[in-house]
Amino acid sequence: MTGSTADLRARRRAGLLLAAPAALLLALLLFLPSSGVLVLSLTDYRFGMPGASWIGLENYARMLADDRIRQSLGNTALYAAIVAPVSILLALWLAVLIEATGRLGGFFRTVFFLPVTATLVAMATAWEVVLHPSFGMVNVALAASGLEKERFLSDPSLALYTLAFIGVWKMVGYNVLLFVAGLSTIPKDLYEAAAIDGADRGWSRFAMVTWPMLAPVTLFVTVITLIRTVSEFETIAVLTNGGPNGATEMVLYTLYQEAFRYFDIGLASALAVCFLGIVAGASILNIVLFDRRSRHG
Amino acid sequence: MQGTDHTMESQTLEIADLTCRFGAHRALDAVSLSVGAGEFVSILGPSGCGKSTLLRSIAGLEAVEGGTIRIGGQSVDGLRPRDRGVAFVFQSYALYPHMSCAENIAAPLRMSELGPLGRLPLLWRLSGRMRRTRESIADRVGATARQLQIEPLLGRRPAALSGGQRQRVALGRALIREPALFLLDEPLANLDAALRNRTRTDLRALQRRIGATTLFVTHDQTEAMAISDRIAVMFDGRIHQVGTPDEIYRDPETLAIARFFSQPHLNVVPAATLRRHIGGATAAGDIRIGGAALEGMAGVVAFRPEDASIRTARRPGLPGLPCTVDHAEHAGHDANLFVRLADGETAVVRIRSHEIADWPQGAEGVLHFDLDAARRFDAPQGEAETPSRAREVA
Repeated sequence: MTGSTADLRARRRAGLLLAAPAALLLALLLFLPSSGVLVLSLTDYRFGMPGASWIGLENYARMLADDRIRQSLGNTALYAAIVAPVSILLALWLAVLIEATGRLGGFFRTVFFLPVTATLVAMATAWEVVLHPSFGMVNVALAASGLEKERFLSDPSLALYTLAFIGVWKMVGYNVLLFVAGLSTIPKDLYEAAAIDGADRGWSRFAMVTWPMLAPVTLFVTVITLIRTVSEFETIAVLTNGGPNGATEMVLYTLYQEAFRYFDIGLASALAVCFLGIVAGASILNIVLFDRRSRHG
Repeated sequence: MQGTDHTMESQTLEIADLTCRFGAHRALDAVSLSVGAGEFVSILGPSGCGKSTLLRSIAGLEAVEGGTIRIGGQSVDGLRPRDRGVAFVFQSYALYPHMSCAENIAAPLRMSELGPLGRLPLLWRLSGRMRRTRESIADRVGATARQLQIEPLLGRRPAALSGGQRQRVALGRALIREPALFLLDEPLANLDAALRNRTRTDLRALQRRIGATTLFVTHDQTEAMAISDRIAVMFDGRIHQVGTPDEIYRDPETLAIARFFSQPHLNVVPAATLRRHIGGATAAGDIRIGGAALEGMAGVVAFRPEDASIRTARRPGLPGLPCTVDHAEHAGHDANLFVRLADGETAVVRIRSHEIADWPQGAEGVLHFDLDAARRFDAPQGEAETPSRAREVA
């Protein structure tokens, strides 16, 4: 038995050695900055100021009391509540259609995936042109069909929904790709068994085979989409700057403003910690649910 | 078992000129087959011969190019798989992984007897008719499970079952439909050897009990011989011979079938070579093989290792081929002795395994074979250069 104990120790040492580089990098690049942010969120540090003093949870209290930040959190929640379900359901529908088209599948996959590969800032600029209040294509079309022109990005009651639309456009391709990959792993003979059992097309086939078999992919897509929607930044920075009047401010943009425009590092750090908490929560939920599924199969 | 068995109205199956093409490849080439009501017919052939395609086109899973399929006298051309009254057991079992075994077995009934509303959770409780349908489905699932002795497994998911248990659940899902026709696509191939033998006996007993017409696809000739009423042998998209296991074993129509049923070895010697060694006649008269005179015979003569024997010296009056021992393979009770004939060709003789020591490598002997058990076939094309060789069929 002594031999096997020595063996075990050697294996442990080899394991540690192999895990060490990744662990070191993780610590250096993730845990160290994160704990730095955590510490800063408990101080009143500002850029350019000589020192900082410990103020406990005051930043968090300020954050919750600040109307602008509350609005920003609300906007983020609304944005995610629109973009996530729409982009997931739309992607699922498109993926099932693409699977069914067969030969043209590759073409459609590329078309829908294009927004994911394109540089987002350039794409956002293109959207700005398309949605321009006076000469944008959409408004020209609206005017031509006798409807009123809309100020899509500067009307406070419209701007967030416009961003949500662009968000769906941006997100759907990635989700389609994930769903298509998921669909391709469903064994063909399950569909054949369903066809013989009486579920050979349409909704019954989807409900009997496709949807249950896609459940793990759907879970993953949901979590990824939620994380990506709550971290929306580029379209806001390029198209609206959070305006009009804070109507499109969201967590990451507010964080950026607090840190690099008002140099209020303490408050920004508190926001960052909250944001990290939300994202980490979603990821942990994902892992836990996945784990349970794979264990209970 | 206690009167809960499914008894089915067995149906006949008639297939005429069925053709199916994948691109340029003819998967089925004018296949015709008649199966009587309640008959158990195996479709036997090597992989890629089209046997699964045949089964799948009967089920409606594969589009056919031409020909007709009649089940119980009714043409099923153009009918959807669900409307053909067939049940299919897949080699992979194709159980729904997210459903319990009970739900898997109930699936065909839920689809055919409950509407889309009735399949929704909770809603069905509102209607008395739906409640009764659900109860009747649950009863039949219970009866089917009892028949297959899988009642304790009903609550489990397929992932928690062994291969043999999954196979039974898949069988249950087929059985519960009380189909006109059972289609089994290598249902035993994924089981280990011991379980496979037991399961095939169970399967045959079950089929006899319920009397369902059954088509059983397999690549294993011992399996087919063991459980079939008749066997249809397929090569390259065509049915070459249909007959009882005994007919096909004793009287294979082609060399390919003979080889398939003589695994692992069949001795094939050109008739001309044979004539050179043993002549056309003995003192007792003409030498006849499979009823025909060896004199003037063309093609090849095939005989099984178990119909051959080896002696140390030629016996007068008994035609034999001189040979040299190459090596022996032990096979338990028997052994296969590989010998080299005078022309350098290899043949295999079945001997008792305790005789291996009598035949060391290089020993000289004379090979005899039972002339009545040998068969003549046309020479296979492309094999003229290497005419006699003991084939090892993988």
